[in-house]
Amino acid sequence: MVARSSTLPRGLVPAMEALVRVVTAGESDRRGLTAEVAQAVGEVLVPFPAHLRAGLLAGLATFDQLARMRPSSRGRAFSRLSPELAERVFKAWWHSPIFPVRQWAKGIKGVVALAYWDHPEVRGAIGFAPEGWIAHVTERRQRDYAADIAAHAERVTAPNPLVSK
Amino acid sequence: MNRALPAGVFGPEDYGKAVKLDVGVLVIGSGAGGGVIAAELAEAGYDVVVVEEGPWARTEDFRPEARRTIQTLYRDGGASMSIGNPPVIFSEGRVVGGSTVINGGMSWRTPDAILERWVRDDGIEHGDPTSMAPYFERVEHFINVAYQDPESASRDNELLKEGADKLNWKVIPNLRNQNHCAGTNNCAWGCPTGAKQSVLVTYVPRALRFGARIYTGIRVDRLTFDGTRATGIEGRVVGGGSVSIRARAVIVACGAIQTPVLLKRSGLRSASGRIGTDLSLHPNTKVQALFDDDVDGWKGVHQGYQVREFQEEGVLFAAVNLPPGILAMTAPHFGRDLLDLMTNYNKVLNAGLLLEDESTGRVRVGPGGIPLPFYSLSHRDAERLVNATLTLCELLFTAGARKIAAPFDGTEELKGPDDVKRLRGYRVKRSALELFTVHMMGTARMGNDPKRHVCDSWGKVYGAEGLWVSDASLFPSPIGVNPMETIMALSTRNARRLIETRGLA
Repeated sequence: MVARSSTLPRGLVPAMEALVRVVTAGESDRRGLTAEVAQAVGEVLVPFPAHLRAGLLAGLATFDQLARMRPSSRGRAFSRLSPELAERVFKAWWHSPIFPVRQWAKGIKGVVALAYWDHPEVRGAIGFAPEGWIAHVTERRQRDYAADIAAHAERVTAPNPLVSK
Repeated sequence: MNRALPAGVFGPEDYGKAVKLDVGVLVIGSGAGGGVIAAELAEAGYDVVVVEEGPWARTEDFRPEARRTIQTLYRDGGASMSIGNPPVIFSEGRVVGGSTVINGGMSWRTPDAILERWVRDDGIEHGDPTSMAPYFERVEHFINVAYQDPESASRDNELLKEGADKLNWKVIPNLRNQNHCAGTNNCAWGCPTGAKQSVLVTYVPRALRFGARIYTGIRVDRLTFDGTRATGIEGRVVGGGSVSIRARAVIVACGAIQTPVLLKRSGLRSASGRIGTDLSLHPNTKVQALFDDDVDGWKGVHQGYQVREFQEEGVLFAAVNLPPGILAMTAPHFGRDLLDLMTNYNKVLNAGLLLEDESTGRVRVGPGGIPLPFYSLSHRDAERLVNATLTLCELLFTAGARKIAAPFDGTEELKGPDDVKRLRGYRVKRSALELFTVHMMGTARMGNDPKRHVCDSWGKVYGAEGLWVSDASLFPSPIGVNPMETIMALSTRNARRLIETRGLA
């Protein structure tokens, strides 16, 4: 079970990194994880249906460039905007009256959020530490129920024909 | 990698770039339908080969890593989606054991009223509750359906129960396929203790014990026919290579999205015209409630209880803990709001509901032969979902929630029961609902009328010889509860029919 590697096009890396900052309210920068998370988003997208992956990435390219059209952007792409302005631009798409635009914003935010909050450092920082819990309850289960566990494992493979011959 | 595969399981490392076999019974898919029927037929002495697109996985591979898991065990990286208003995200397992490896492990018999309706409206033979009881019992024996040990309880489930109890609503402990579940709340990422009795650790070992062989990493492109008789499959090795398998009988068990598309891709026509139609989804909505004290939903069992107060209206509630990545992905926020929610991750109770839908959709064959599911929620179902979601919010406030994240797109977060009341008068557009499901059903319905049904009462495809379906596609209607045990019981029942009638001879 090996996860496939990132295929985020190099040209979209600045826009993706800017988006990571917006989705995480700059927390990714404070932890020094922005570039890593942007690459992880590319990994998340690899097994997606091709049309969905293409749509999300084309949407990002469009979003990045269309930001230039906003007067407050002064001709700059999304990836070059200040954090405050970038957030405002993304918010406009998030609340867009156009359903596919809104859907894109929610979809791309979803994969960015997954990539960031699944990072071990971030999970630890918010108090999610399941490994120790799993080890503890696994040991308890084995200690208290070993006989039952073994008995059921035997039952699973014991002959028990559905139809008597 | 080879060394990790048990005897009887083969991967691309074993068979290389080409697979050419001549077998007795070929089962396509290894989940709740395919795994069960393969084991039953193998024990009856048939030469059974199972092909599975996904990989073999071991209990020790399952860890609390949501992102890695959805990339490896979920079809399409968990991003499958129906087209319609609103879109519905759905998940399918793509691993030996199918979706049973990644489901929550809820094991409920088909409600009697549903079975009776199937007999009455669809003419299902021997499908009444009394006739079905032995098959449920047999399945429950192998997958060890039981109530949880008390020490596995989790705080989020206790809160859900406390809220329901205060409102005097019916709430019941969940029956689950587990053998002393330890309460790791990792069901959706594979059980790391092996306590969840998925098909991977029950019927698959059973099938192997009785001589079945499992070929992993094989994608089936089409069924082959000689006239109307199914003769096998042609397909591809995932990663490159060709597959050609001849079989005297073929059982399709790929789930309600993939099965109808495989039938259609193979050129099969049904007099009913209903291959791929009648798709039901049991759409889910979810809400995130913030509590003052730690909830720590990940310490304990997943979905320990179900609120059944509204079951007759087709609605169930449950507490559904999500790991941080998935919670953040699905939360209706970004930026500061999302950061605030996630900083309080351990105080969040994520709860969801399941709707027995009246809406139906269809699965079409898309470009390149991929499934394209279309499904739009009816206005009536949308209204039911909105009302049920607000009722769930009412329960969570009764349980002590301080606030609840905006349940619908475009609404504000809820700060108390008054906000719930206010929202009841608000017209929520269908597009404002964010829906998810893991219960796809009904795209090759069984019944006694070839003009209305795709398969007969026993899963045999009308108009084709040597071809059966064995998965949730067979359901003539949604069932209002988790479908795994129904799929397993029907597969057992259909296996018995095949054995007794020598239908595979």
